[in-house]
Amino acid sequence: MLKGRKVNLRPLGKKDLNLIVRWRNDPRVLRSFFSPFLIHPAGQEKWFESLQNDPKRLVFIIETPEGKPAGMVGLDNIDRKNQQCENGFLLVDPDQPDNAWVFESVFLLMEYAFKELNMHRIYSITYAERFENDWFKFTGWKQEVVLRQSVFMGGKFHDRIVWGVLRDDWFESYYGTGE
Amino acid sequence: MICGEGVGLRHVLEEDLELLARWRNDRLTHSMFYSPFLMSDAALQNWYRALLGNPDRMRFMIERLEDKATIGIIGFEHINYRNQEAELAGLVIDLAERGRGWGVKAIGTMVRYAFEDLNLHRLYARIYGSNRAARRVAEKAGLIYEGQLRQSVYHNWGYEDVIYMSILREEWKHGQRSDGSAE
Repeated sequence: MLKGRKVNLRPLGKKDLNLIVRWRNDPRVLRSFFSPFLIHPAGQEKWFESLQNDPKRLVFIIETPEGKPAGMVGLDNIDRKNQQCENGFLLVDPDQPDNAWVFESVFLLMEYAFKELNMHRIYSITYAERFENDWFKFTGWKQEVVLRQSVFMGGKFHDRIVWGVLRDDWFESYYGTGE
Repeated sequence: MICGEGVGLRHVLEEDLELLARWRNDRLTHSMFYSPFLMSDAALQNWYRALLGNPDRMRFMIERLEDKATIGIIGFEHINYRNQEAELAGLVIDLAERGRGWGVKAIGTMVRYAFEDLNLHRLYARIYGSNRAARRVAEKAGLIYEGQLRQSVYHNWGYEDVIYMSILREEWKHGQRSDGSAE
């Protein structure tokens, strides 16, 4: 378990799958993804099985200190040769969306990736027009690429942004400079 | 065969694998690939079989039309018909034929095929930041710089940036000849 102040991260379990399917298919959540396809519970179980022996993916449940699931987050495309991975799988309970939880979850994940998994770079891809992009500004993330008109959702093409954070930059923002 | 100006694109055949192995395992020819791993004949066979059964990717041998000589290879990866996009990938031109504009012509042929026939809307390419030649080739073929992934591949004693370049269908329609070269 990765322990924070407002949330903890624990490995995704089989018992969480129903909840994930419900969140993922909620229209409020669905429109924030890059794919319009609804998730079938059977497919979700297969996905869960495929995660178990995959060194390239780590998925966590975001939990409140009382143990109530609040969302999901994880590392995808873990590339040990190039020491980089994607911050992905982000999903928040649409009935209790809380940016502070998301912020701390991503923070915990970055700390884990840089300090324990020996990652050198983390990246993430978001819609260009979404306000959630703001939280990247606090943690050493930089906008790297605008993937122009690279996804079709809701009747039109959208730009997406690739964000990246390097370990050195992150250590600086974490430990401060000159001390 | 898909014809462009001076070059044609044809399927990869089993008998091309020997040539591909030579290119793939020659450090000079493939020095700008993201993967440093050499490929055995068996691995290449597997790659070929996987390619044949996969609608998400394509590879074409590049032929010089005047004498039917095979001078390179090019392809699409991550073809996504819902998002109408694909990656331009796997371009290799034989060392002896470099610097003669074949890359621009091959890309131009691929771009036209993608936009006119495959109903794609966006093509992108990923290139090492230090690979000036490839970037120039992409620019000549009409691709625009989108940004760079900082320090994202370990290569040649350090982390290299990877730049993204792309072209949209509406950009290609204006001022592009059918061979894809600018103006």
